[in-house]
Amino acid sequence: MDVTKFLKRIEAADFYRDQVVHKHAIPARKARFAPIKTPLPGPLRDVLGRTGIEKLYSHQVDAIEALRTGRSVVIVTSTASGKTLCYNIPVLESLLEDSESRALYLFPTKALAQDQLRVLRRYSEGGLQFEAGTYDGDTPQALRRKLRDSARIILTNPDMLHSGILPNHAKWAPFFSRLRYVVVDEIHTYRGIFGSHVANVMRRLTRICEHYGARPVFAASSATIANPGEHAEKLLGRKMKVVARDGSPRGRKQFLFWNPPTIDVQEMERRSPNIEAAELVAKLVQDDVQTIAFVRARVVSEVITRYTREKLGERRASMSDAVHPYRGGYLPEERRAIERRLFSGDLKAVISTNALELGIDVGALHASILVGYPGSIASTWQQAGRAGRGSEEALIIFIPYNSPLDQYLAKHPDYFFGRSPENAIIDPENPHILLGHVRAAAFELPLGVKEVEGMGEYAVSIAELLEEERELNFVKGKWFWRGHGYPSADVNLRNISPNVYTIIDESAGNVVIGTIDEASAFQQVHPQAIYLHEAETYFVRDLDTDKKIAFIEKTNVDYYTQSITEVQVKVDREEKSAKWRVSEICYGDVSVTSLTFMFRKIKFGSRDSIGYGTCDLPAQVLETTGLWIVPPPELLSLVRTWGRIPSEGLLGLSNILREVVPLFVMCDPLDIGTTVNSRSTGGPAVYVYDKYPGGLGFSLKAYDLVEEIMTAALELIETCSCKGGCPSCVGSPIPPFSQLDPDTGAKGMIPDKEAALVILHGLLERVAYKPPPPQGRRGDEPVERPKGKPLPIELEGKLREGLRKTKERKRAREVL
Amino acid sequence: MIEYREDLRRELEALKKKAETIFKRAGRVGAIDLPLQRQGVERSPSRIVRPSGPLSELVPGQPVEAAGRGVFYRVLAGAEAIWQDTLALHREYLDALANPFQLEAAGLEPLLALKDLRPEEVCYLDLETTGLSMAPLFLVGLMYTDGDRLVVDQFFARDYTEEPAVLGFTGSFLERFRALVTFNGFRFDVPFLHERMTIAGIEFAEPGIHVDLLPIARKLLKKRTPDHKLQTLESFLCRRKRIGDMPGSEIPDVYHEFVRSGDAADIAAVFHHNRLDLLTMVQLVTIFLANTGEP
Repeated sequence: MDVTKFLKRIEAADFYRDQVVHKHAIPARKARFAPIKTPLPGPLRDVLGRTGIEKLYSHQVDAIEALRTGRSVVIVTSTASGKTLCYNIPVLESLLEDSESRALYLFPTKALAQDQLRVLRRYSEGGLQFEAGTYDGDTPQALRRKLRDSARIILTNPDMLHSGILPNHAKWAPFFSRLRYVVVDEIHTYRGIFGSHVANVMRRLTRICEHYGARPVFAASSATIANPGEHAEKLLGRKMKVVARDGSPRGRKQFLFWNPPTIDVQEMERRSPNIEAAELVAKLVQDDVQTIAFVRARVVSEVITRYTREKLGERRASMSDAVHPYRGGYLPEERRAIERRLFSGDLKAVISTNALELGIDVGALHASILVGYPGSIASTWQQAGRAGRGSEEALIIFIPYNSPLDQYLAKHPDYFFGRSPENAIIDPENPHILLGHVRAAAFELPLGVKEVEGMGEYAVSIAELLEEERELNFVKGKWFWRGHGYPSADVNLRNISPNVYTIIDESAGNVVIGTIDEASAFQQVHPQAIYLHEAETYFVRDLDTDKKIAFIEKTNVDYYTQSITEVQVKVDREEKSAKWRVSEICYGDVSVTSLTFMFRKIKFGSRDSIGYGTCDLPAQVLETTGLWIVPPPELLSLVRTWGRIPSEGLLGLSNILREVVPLFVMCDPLDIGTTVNSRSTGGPAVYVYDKYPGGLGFSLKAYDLVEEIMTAALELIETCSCKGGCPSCVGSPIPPFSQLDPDTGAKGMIPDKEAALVILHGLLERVAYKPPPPQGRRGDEPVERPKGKPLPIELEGKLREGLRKTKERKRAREVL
Repeated sequence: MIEYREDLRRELEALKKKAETIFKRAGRVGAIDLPLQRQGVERSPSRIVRPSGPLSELVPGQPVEAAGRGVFYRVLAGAEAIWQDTLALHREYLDALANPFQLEAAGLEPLLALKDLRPEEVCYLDLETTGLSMAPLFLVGLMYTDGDRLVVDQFFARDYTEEPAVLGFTGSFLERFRALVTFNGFRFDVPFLHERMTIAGIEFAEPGIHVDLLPIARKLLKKRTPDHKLQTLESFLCRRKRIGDMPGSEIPDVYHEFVRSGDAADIAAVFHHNRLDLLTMVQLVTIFLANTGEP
């Protein structure tokens, strides 16, 4: 697209109010081709030629040559750089050379597997003649046997491999014994708890292959992360060659920061980023520029689509169908249809959640709009990478919300462009995770002592524990399964509830129009909610929590709803506690309760809150383990003497812990929760808990490492170059997805970095930190504070609790 | 309940008469006395105390080397050790096999396959395993005639590591037979054997003829018996009573405990259970063959 021309037109448009606050150009790059050593077999060359591929990029040749010589490879190049060819070429070559050879492709989602099957079909129909098929939960029973016996390439996901294929390996013996290649796509998605599980599944796969005499070569691909080589080696349990020198051409990319203009005198309120996005999408569609907008919540994809359609309808009615929402919760057929329309160019714009962030091939898009910060640098580049194929010029627009973090990023483009992407962390040896895989592996084949020792330092003890439980028998140096049933059925690789609600449209004759996970159902399809589907409004008549059905009916209203959920942490049982320096640190069972108790009605466009209602839903309780630290009251008083608010500092501390703790306990930031709460402790306590039923040992490990963790937290804040706090230190990390429209929530602010520093210095018994005076105050001397009689712990807890509730409910009713 | 029993009683009486005529025609007096009443199976209380002892004492047998696959434990004995009447049964069985009968009718067609074989070429097979699939097997029970008597031949893995020897030996031992008779072997025993052979990396082909008695019994008896389990048929058709039998569901744990402790008390009962199952299969074939197939 012609970005300059578009910019000119935008800047002349009547809605332009200097929204472009920063421009950043990423220069074009020329293609780098390389010759391949041994020429490809004729039929393969012909088929490639017919799809327009005559020459290979240098990174493709690097990968192909390594794979040909039996070296496992991880490919880390940009979106649309031709990653799939890196592994498809050697795989297809092996199929042609050896009429028996097989390949296994693993994708994180069923949709990706189907998408790649379509790619492979183009080769098989183009003259290469081989069978390939997806083997997952959707595969009809009748087809499964045929696929096992005759498919040369099986496309599946780690979950199916874990629960369907490996435990039945005898049926797959011919397949495993001829397995030449294992392709593991999008490995950056396998991190944290999920990744640790998948790493164990990959070890089990390797073991089964060895049993049948195969030593497949692994080809992995990853989006840009900080540690692709290390991550791939840990995930796949083998040495990997990293191919990262991207030889594909890239057009110039124009990155714009588009900050919605302020609309009040105090310059506190801004125009809605959703409306700004709709305005931009509409303009791009009118210019025939195919566009994708990424949003952080499902509801936002609907809202922006609605706004865009309205704007297009005003201008040219025929265009309004050219934009469509895309998100999880749509039926698979509907998603496939949208992908097809996008690919064919029939659809001009799609407003998507991160569901389209992974590599589903939707063809060349020219512009990508990021509505809100996606939550990580890695995701930002993934989403930005969706725009611009080949050497064409592309446009990327970041529209921040009016939240402290988004606004921080809008004002610090250097931070945005200078920061390296996140690490992917996994810990396959986590005993909680390992336990399930020792059981599953022993079921599949007896486990030798060496094998068990290789699974992790605690693996032998775990095997012995299982022996005591009469699940394993140790005979002649090997552990044999003697338990009941299929142990892999006891392990769910993904940390998500298996409960899925169906959404039934009663006004259209009781048809199922979508699905929704349990946690989201309570927040989005509670009774009286307005649910948005394909940008239309539906009234939720009832939510049947037994049958797991939401009954909705089409209703034409000019508002949507946003629910309010209160999250509480409570100590159920203190298991241990210790004096850590000046504070008390405890570990034990905690429950995290989420209660959706009311909802607000938000008028489309104006965002006015036009009413509210209450929800009568059961609370959702996560029973897990956690640690909590209660700082001494004197330290909190000290914070007050500097004119700062202790709970602000604690909140900042809890935010930074979410970044630091994962590094020490080896998990993903999303696998733990941190918060400040005083309900069980009287005074405020900082909590760190495992976001997993029953806990996975993260907080226990953190309890033991509290000194190291707090020291690292202090160092991180001290060395952070920001002034009053930023997303890298005390600012709250943004989850990659949310239930709610960020445009309608409370604004809040970045917690007080200085207060956090005072607290951390105190906790670690360092020389007392002397913060600068708070803005608007003179002098840097502490203020004398009166000494009052301290409240009894229970009373203080109750008072704080009551206050918090009052404030929360008041805020909920507040008209924006 | 009463109704089908009455129905069955009439049918069995008729069957008995016919069988007697056949036996008389063959020059012998019918020795097989078809039961007219269901014989109860005496279920032992699940925690029955059986005498403890090592395997070699409670189930005398021999360690045998299976070419290249290690050692397993073989228990070979005449079937008369199980039931005193087996010598008579053996005669009736040979007689029924040798006699031309009208198998074309009444769902007995599959038994036609046995017609042209020598009795020594027919082998009865029953597996004892630790699960329904993807679990080791530990006992291959075979029954066949050596011409003089019925023989029970059991290949036992004293622990999981002996399974490959059992499998290897079974594979080559079965080569001498032309027909296999099983109960539910189409769906269970034979695919299971193949699965274990695959995992152990052993090439295996079962005898060319495989007669599964379960579908035959189903077709023959339809709803006249409460179900078509082997022991149900046994209690309706064979004149034997099981005392203190090991319920099938407990067998996997019994084996795992034997592997762990070495005490053969309970596993001895599994050996016996397996022999009774084999014997019932031979007896069922004898009874089915005695049926002239007329309504």
